Amino acid sequence: MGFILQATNLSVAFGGVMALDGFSLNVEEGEIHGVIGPNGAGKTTAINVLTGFIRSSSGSVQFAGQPLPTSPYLIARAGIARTFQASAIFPDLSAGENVMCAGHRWTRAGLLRCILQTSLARTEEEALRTSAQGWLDRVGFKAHFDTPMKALPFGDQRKVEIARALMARPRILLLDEPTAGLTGDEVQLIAQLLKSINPAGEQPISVLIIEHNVPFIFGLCDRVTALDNGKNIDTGTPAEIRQHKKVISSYLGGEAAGAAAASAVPPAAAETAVSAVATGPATPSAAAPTILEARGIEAGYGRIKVIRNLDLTLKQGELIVVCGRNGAGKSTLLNALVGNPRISAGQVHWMGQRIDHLSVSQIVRAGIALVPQERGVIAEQSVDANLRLASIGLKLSAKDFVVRRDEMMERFPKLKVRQQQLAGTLSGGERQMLALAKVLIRRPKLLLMDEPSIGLAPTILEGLQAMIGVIVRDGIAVLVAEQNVAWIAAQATRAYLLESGQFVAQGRPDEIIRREQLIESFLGKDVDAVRVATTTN
Amino acid sequence: MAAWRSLMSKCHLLTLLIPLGGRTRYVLGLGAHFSKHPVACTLVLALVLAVLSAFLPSYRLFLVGQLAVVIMVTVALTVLMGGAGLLALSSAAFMAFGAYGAVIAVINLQLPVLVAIPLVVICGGLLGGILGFVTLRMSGFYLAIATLGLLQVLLVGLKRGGTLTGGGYGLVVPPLTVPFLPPLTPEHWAVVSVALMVLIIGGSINLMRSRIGRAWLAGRDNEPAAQMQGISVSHMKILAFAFSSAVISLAGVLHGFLLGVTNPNAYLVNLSIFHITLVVVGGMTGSLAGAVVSPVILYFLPEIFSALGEWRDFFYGTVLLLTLVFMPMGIASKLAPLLRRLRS
Repeated sequence: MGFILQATNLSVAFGGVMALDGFSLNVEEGEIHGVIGPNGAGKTTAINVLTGFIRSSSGSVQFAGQPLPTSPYLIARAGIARTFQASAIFPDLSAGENVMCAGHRWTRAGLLRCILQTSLARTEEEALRTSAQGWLDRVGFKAHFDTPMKALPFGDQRKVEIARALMARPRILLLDEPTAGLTGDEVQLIAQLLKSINPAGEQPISVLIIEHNVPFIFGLCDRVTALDNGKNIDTGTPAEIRQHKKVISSYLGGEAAGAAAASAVPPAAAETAVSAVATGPATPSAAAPTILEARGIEAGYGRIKVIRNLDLTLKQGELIVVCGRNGAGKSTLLNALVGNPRISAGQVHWMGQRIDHLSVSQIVRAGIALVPQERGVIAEQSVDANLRLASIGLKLSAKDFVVRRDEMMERFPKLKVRQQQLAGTLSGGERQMLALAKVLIRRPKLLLMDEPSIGLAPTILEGLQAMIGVIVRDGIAVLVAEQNVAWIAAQATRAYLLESGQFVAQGRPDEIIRREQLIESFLGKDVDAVRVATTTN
Repeated sequence: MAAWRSLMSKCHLLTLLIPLGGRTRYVLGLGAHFSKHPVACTLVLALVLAVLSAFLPSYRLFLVGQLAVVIMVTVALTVLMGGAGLLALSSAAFMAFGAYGAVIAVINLQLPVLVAIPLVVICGGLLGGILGFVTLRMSGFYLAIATLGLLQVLLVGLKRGGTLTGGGYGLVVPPLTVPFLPPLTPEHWAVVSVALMVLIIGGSINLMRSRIGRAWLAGRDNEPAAQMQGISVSHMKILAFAFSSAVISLAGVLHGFLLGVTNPNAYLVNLSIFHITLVVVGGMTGSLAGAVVSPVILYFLPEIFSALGEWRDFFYGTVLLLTLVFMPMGIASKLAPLLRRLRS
């Protein structure tokens, strides 16, 4: 079989940093090809070059025997489809319409035909609708076709994006971290789907996947390309790459990283992951004072209550994990604790004072900090300017600011060399560090982190784990809300399991993880049944 | 014969059937599609009202015609701003183009009015397409300023145009005739405006729900992702400009015919800003429901209360503030879900 996509000697420089440096890639017709590498290795840049968003300063790309067209929409029409690392949905369209957009290139009705709804326009529309519904069913999308896209939880949006890419009937499909933010079951579903998209007799679809979920990529791919610093390390079968010394040293890391990677696929692997991590839980002294106490809180958006009747207490210097699947209400809980949305019932006490009636800025000034899921760094500003912005309101003198900034640079040495670089050009891992630095510069007493592990390479995740350890030892309480908690669970003092907006279990982290797996296996069944099962366990 | 003429002058409805002519299949198809849509039902009601308004005092009828013109512009601009995400201050320019163009075509080119109107609309569309092409790399404030420049240049041209444009006084619309009918009065044009408004709204709703409407919203919200669906966002932007400019030119033609004169001071930048206000209040989520309602609230009602003198402005300001405070995402954001529920 021939190569569908041949990229040779691609180079891209951002400022003085080489994002790609003579990178080459060959994808065979019909294969599933993985690309792995640490954050900042140039994986996303490579996909952006292959889809025409970034121009390579050297080399060439051949697609299906032809030179690659120059603009993205022509590349899409030639038969390349992709998903984006950050969710790239059309919020004002319905889920179904989002998928129907992929049919744009093979429908013909022009302006007049669309205005007059001629029979051609109507026939095309019907065909698109049927086809879109078919793809939504295949990716396991269960909500209604006409649900507004912005009303869907993250996991469902991801599925719609994958359905949209497949609906385009591409020759090759480029997936940029398709499983980020999905639960174990959903990841399995995507894997099965990708294995089954090439029925015999049809023109095969090749797949190129970028992923940090190492077991997923090694289990699925025919071949894997590893890169680092914009250069190829090697290409080979998963078995070969797994053994490759340079891949291990630059990406997979030591034993702990292996465990952290495994954590991305919960079921059986998670338990071993917990025992493998050497660092024990941070144990605050029993006398540590309670700093946060939430009782019976309720919050949501508009008339929809996302979380109901939650109780939560946090002691000084404690590390707590809240786990639960997509849409369970984790983000809403964290956001409600900082006052947006405001809670509609219950009380939140912080250091003995009621704070639920305060504004977001007052709560933040009181010492609670939130690192949101999308990191909250300002892409068009430099690292330095981001830190400056974060310290607004502290009324620091110029000297004090420099002291605090240097403190942060010491904590996150990687940021030091990038102080003047725009935050938008940082890699995923560096962006997470900047997000952390932005809140830590305020010296908070409680740190709330929403899905901090999304999009991080195993080695970086290992670093983050250590960093959180240091933060906790410094006496800052940390609350982590995560889909896949195994990487951090061993360090945590307590864990809560959130399901449909309520805590269904709380206790020792390893126990909670076991119960979470139980919930996963009950997925789609009655939550109450799960609760009975978990309490009798 | 005299009886026939007097009947015709009363029964303005029949004048509607003339432009519809041979394309009844499409028109009927449009009708079938319409009946499913509640906005369409209210519009049919508006049409009936327009016919009844043949018996209204002519000032009221004139106002109804003006409302139809404003609704057409708001719908066209909502497609451009809310659909394709392009902020343009050129709506007054295209209205002026339509008004002057039609009168000049009739006076100077001696064209029959039924030829002049389509010609002006097509030229307006082409001009819009060219404007879209030239401003392709601009967006947001830059695009707004560039389109403002076009308006100012056009206004200077109109004022300095000598006998062609009538300078600062403008042009008087000559008597207009169409075959088999009595000479057309502003009352006739009011009814024609309402009828064309219905067609424009119906067509625009169809358009926003079609592959083109989807492509506009996709390109507006996430250009890279839209391009990866094989959508040429540039072509779509040009198309949006062409469509909305053609419709606004048509509205301009009707505006001139309704007033009986064209005056450069009627098409100043305030008019463009008023149109943008209507679009923002109506909502820019891709639904056109608000674009039909906001002119009624912000144009028609204040005009009805114009007898109240400066209280008219008070009423306008209050309504504007209240809608923006209680419906910050526009009327459509509240109306569209309601309509959806009614339909299902």
